[in-house]
Amino acid sequence: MTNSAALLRVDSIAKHFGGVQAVADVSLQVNAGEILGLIGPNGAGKTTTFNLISGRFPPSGGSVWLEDVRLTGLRPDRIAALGVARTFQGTRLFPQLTVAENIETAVMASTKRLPQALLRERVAQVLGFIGLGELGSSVAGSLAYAHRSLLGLGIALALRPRLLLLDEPFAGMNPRETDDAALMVRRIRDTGVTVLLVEHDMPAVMSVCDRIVVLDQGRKIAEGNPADIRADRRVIEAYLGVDADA
Amino acid sequence: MFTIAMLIAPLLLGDYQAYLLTLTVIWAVLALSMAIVLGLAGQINLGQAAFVAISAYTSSVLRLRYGLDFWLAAPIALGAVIIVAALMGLLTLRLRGPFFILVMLAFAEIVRLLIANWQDVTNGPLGLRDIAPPEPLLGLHFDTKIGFYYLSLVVLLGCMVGLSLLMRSKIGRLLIGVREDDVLAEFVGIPVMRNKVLGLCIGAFVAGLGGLLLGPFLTILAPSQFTLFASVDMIVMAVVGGIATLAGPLLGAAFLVYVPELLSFSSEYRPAMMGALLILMTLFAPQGLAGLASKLRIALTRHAQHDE
Repeated sequence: MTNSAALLRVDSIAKHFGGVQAVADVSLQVNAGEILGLIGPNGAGKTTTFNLISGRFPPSGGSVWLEDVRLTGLRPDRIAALGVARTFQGTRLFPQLTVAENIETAVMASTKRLPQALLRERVAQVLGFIGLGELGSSVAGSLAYAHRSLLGLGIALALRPRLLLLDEPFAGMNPRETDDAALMVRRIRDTGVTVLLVEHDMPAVMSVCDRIVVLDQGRKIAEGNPADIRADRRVIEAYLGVDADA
Repeated sequence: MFTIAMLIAPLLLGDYQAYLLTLTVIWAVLALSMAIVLGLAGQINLGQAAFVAISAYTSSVLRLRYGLDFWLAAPIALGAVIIVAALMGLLTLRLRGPFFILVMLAFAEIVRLLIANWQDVTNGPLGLRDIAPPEPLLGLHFDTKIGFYYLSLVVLLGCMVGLSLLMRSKIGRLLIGVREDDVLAEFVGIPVMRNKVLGLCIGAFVAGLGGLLLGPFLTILAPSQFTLFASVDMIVMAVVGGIATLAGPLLGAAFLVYVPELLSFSSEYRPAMMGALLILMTLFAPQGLAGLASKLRIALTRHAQHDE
């Protein structure tokens, strides 16, 4: 599995909370320039895996590497500085700041001193990309749900990451919003950002991802392109909960 | 306008009024320090009085026992406050909610008991006496009520200007980011712990500045001045005035110095009155007096427009 194009490598990570084994020995890699989907039925350990990768909490075993830099054990702010950005389920924002200030804060946090003009330009660029240019001076906490998700994405993009980790980017969206968001994810990839996403919405995952990794009960049960995954017997069993021999 | 009024007021008033104004200004510095901790570290600090006490006692002990000049003792005392605040921050800011509050409360009690029992240095519960006004500096004298008032005012205005510059700077923005959502802040690359400690230290520094003025102003220092109630008073002033604006703590301090003065109610009811006031303000005017003032201004403008 030591493909030279691997941007992120997850080496048999495990996590148990007390006696509960949430993730057991999961390995995967994200290749530069791809959109990788991490899916699985409820309780499969995908959110835990996602949090282990992003450094939200340390794994009980195993390690995560960004090219040849070991991310495991680093604080989240150090991981962000290395070019890994993430969004949050349900979206986290700086609620009392304006939309533009939210983006600005992320730009400021990820750069050394920028001249005012350059800072403003970068904020405008991100706002334009996520389509919130008109709402720049609105207070973030008062945004509608769809706009909140876009802003959450914008905050992550403001870091100019090499790898973007999306935590259920389509959650709570209607089919049209999901299509728009899927388009957005592809546009992000087209700017040269590698994407790893965790998601429930199967059709959306199938349409947007280049490759998919399926987890069940804390283990990887399948990996491949969307067509292979759709046809994979173990995946169907895991989702439908039927016994293979029944 | 308000600033100009503060500048000329004592010239028109008698000694006692100058005393009340100075008291207001010093309390405003302390309330501002609490507003900083509330606003930048996102924490209620029931130990803030300890930072005031450390600064007041360190500077006054250095002057009374070691004969240091006020202007030499002041930076040493402020340095001591910042070091203690940084250590306390590193120890406690990992704790959330009630735990931070409880540990800081315990810390404040320890500081107070240390002062009360370390008789050789602090003179214990009897306190330090005859603390002189600051020595002249650059030809300016502070040994009159008016002179000392202006010194206090300069400290307050300096803090307000410094804070407003800070809030506009990158450092200020990162501090605000941590206050707004510390998880998100950390994932966009802000070292959260370092910023929380910094917020606490900035608040402690301002509290220390207030503490420097306290000794020469009152001429006596005693451990009984630095109980929990001193911290609570700072919180009430900050909340009553409004923590979202720079002028808020000054308004709150003025309110809490002058209202009891006008009503001349007995000091034994003070804690109860403070508690009631805090509850009322939190329920009915969470933005404080400063918020009420701006609401009133908006309402009046609307009214005026309506009349046209």
